[in-house]
Amino acid sequence: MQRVLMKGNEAIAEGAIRAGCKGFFGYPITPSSEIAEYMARKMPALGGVFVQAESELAAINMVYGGAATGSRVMTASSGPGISLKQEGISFLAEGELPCLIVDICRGGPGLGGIQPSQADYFQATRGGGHGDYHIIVLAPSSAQEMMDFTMLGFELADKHRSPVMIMAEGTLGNLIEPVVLRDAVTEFVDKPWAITGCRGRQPNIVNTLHMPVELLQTRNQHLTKKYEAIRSEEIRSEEFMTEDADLILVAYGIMARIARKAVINARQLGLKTGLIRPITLWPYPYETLGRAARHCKAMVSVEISTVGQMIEDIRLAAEGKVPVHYIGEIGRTPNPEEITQQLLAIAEREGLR
Amino acid sequence: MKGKVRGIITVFAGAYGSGKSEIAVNYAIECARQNLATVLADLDLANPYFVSRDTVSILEQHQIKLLAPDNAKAYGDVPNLPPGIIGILRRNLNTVVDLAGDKAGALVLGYLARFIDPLQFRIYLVINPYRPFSWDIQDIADLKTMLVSYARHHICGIVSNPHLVEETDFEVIVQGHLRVAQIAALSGIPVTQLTVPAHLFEEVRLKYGEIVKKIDLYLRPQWL
Repeated sequence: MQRVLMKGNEAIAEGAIRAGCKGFFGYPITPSSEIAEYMARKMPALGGVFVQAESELAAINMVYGGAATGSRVMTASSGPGISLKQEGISFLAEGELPCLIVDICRGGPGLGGIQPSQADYFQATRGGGHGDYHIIVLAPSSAQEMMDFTMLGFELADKHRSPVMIMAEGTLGNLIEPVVLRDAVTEFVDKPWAITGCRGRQPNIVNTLHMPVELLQTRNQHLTKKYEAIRSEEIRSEEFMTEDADLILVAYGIMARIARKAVINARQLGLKTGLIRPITLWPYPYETLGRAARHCKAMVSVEISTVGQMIEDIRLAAEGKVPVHYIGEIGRTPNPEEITQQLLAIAEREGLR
Repeated sequence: MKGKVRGIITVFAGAYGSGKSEIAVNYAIECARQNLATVLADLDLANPYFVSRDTVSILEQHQIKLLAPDNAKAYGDVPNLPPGIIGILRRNLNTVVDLAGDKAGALVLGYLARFIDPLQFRIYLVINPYRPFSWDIQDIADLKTMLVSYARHHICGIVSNPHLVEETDFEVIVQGHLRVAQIAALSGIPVTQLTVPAHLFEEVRLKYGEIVKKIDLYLRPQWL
């Protein structure tokens, strides 16, 4: 068990290499650039491909090409770059091409700033691209999980023939923590659909244009069934002290770690709090939240966003049974004490103390 | 600002994550405690996450002048040197420089070196062998060659900073320092300091003696 000290971004890159990633196509952008830097430094010696593309559009379409050959491939960017990639992501979803897309979020909208943010939640979970599709979105909360979820992401991508996104805040991308290096993946699923040269078989074609109405309908029904399967198999979440909690926080990514500390602080002050941490942002753990809403008195979304984005999913899950409050700001990562103070204020308003 | 001006320019260069910023802040505070007028120049041109300028209130407490990109430029996502650095170097103040240990850092060093009297100039290389690209002797040798050729000045010493942050224990330090000592021997630069967190200081000092320095962590977020 070898321990090293890695930035979240480096852990993603090393995780990808250990998952057998053979192609990285990207265009650097803070706060994600260390992923590209690491891949640029390591890939050539490993017989992989690193391309700094001329644009995000080019990069995501290189991912389309690379994935179509059956290789494990990826791209990484931040909000503005992910916006540019949306058309390509829609094509990847319809082409059913497994790949990894990393979004190390910075503040927006527009060019925004390079400070941490979780305000790409809508874009990640609702699909910024066109058409009926979803992608799996994983939200790590430590450098170790940046590595582990990257490896899991490639696995899920192959299993479901779907793009998978890792969504993390700029803080986590740049946070340096001990990481246990995982063993390299040596077994891969067969990809009989891949374009590998058609000697001895019919040609494979990866195409997203379906002119006849029946074909369009069949394709969409097929994808819908796939999304149902993903919903039934891949929802992941964690609960912390929720059993007897009056006030349940919901937070993901690095905010889940901070919220967890706030839960402990608030409990010491006599406020029964708990935490639900969605790990998959799509598919979302609606059932876990719905169950909690039946026994708690209020819920709180804690996000690095001013508008509040995940709060909409919490409201959907709560089905109006409990009020859903909001704690959020953008551009910095609040500390547990600040969250605790805001929880106390919410508890006061709700008559919980 | 306080005390008598002595005017040594001490550069801590290291790859990101080597711990150079923590070491620069600790060293600046140590200078200030000795009543030396001290400037901390944050010339780390990497992105502005977890950088020494985040410690501004602690620096103020010790009357250390911070020289760093102003707020808007700090988030400008383009490398920029704080205005005033040349003036500071020429004023003969005791200056601690926090510098990226990469090509960008080397370029900055090369630019600034012409304004520094070689007799006042000290460059230290900070190494944490647990970081990627810091375990291989060749990587460190390349970094040394680059820094020396740009700065046109020798590296005075290696600061051995073997750690796994919260998971650092005695064994982690011993194993890591062994590696740094090998790198140092091969590169011909002496290890001048072995930096350790306060709770391990006594134990490590018993083994390695005077080179062991205690450092406090100012940049690490409290919520980890």
